[in-house]
Amino acid sequence: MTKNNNAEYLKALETESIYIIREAYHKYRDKLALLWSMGKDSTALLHLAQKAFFGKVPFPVIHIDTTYKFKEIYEFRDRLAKKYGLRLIIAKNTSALKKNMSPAKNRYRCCQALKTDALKLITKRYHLKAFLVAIRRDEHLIRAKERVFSVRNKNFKWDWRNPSLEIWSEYSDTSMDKSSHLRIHPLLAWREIDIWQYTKKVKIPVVNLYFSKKGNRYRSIGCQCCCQAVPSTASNISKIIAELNTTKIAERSGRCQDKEKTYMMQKLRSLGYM
Amino acid sequence: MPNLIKIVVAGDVNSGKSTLIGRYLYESGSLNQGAIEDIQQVCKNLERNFEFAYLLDSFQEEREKELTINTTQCFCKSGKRNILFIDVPGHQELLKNMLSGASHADTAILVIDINKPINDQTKRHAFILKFLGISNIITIINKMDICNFNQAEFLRTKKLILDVFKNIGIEFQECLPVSSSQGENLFKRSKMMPWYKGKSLKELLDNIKIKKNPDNFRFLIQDVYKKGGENIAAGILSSGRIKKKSAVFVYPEQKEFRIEKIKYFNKSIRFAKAPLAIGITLNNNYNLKRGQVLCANHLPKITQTILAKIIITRPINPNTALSFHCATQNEMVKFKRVDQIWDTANLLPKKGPLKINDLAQVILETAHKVVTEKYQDSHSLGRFVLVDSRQKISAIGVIL
Repeated sequence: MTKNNNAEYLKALETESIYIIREAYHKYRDKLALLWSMGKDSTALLHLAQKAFFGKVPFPVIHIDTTYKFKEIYEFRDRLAKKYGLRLIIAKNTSALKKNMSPAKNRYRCCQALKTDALKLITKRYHLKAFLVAIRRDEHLIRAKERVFSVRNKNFKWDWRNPSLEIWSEYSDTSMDKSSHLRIHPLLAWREIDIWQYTKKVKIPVVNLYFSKKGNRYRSIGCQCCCQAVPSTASNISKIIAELNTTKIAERSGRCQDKEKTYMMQKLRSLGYM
Repeated sequence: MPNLIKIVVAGDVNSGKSTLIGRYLYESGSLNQGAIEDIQQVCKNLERNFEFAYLLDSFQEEREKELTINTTQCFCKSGKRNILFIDVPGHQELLKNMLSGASHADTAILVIDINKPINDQTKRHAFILKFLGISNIITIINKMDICNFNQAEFLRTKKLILDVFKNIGIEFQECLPVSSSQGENLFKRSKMMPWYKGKSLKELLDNIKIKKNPDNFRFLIQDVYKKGGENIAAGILSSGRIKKKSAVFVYPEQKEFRIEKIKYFNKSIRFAKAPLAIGITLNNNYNLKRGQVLCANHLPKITQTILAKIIITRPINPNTALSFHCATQNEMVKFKRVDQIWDTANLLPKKGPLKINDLAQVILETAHKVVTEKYQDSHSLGRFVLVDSRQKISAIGVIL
């Protein structure tokens, strides 16, 4: 792979993503927000949003906080939010947390309550209509079936049997009723390795959990209790890229919600999970 | 990713499109550890033999019904090439999902089941590939194992599809006999068909050439952001290149200006090359707006009358106003004339009214001037959608 060719490819991906972000803002203005988990993908998305608007992101950035995240993630969030002057909204399902909802009770119900339901609460409180979400097709076979502009009904359900017509770069087929909202996916076409190459090229900060310590690293991060580190010696981004060029291990192999039951991801997503 | 080709795998329902992609991913060594074991488990639960198609058909319902419902995409490393496979449903009622997938492709594989007659849906898919301007089309005659790899059967089917292509006006290119489920002629040449002297699919894909896009300067304005007293037109440099101080035209107003600043992220740059998302300011801080196009070299057309071919995607009433979306332009539009209607299945002329899946040659009239080009000359200004008052796409079109 020649270096130049790859730079061209990353430019094309960047262009397409920025186009989508600006189209989203054009349509939804103050009803739009970006979901930021502080993972590599949504941090790249945040960078693209800064680029789209020549510096400052004009809409709020939401962290869906289950309270079970790694401490490194919280530190990273607070440092960057300050540095970039973000309008950060922290979404917590406090009533579920008061009732001690945790993965130990039931992982599926925990994801549902602390992520999907927390997002429902914030959607209502801030009258939001659209979210920029950093999912990618190559992460999961179910996410591979997504559209860039994807409607969720008032119960957050994804009607995947009847998706919109999304031809060329036309994202106008988004008919929805008053209580529905849109998930907008500007990174759908990016691969894991593209994210890392781009992160390296334009120097996007990342949480250090991704880098190998004592022979292990996290390839995908989320709640501490539901993520497992994978064996790896990749201690910096160049080494991660080299590792991805040869590995046969799936990116989300350390993520619990992808595994337990074959269709867990489909069930979670059909109910509003990202 | 150098040498990337985007391939849509089209064809009738049950011709083996998903199986072909799944098997190709397997043969090329593109699958992750555990992917095959996962599918083995799914097949065991469903009491079925192993299905490569389940690597693409990920929804429970798709697997149980053995039917691709929604389009999907996956990457694959194959010899000299990086491939993006786009799987689409074959079913007639799922044509909008087929269009959603196929519109992103630069190359197509048309899959035909040798054990079935060539039906309307195969013809319709072939026609849509042509409509979308996909010029590289490889024909795969699939399920050769079921007819015992019979050469005469292959030649007979090849002749039939040749006639279909001739009728549609597609240049006949490569055609190869394949068994997707057994991997014959996909990644390696088949030993089961010694009579076939042509290339395997991998060899064909290694050598396919992708047409380059035109190079005229086009900047499509998405929005204008006010920043520090400046009006920055944010948009996409969709083709060509531009330097600071260059003379450009604002279309459709046809006014000439000079580029004052090119903004990229938080910097000003001197030069930009497509594709790139940038911001532009003009001399005198001229106030631009969404829908305008900055252009130079071989200027596009400014018009209110558009000659186009359209495919109907929702029930449509040609007497009501629709909105015409072309790049970032959005104008009210009316049908001035419907010249001809064809059935996309058999390509025979038919009488109105316009129905879903029909093809029509029409003349549209927009409320105000719009900037257009022929589809063959410029992708972004040569294609459009017609949107109804409920924000649903009623038709897709290409400009003639």
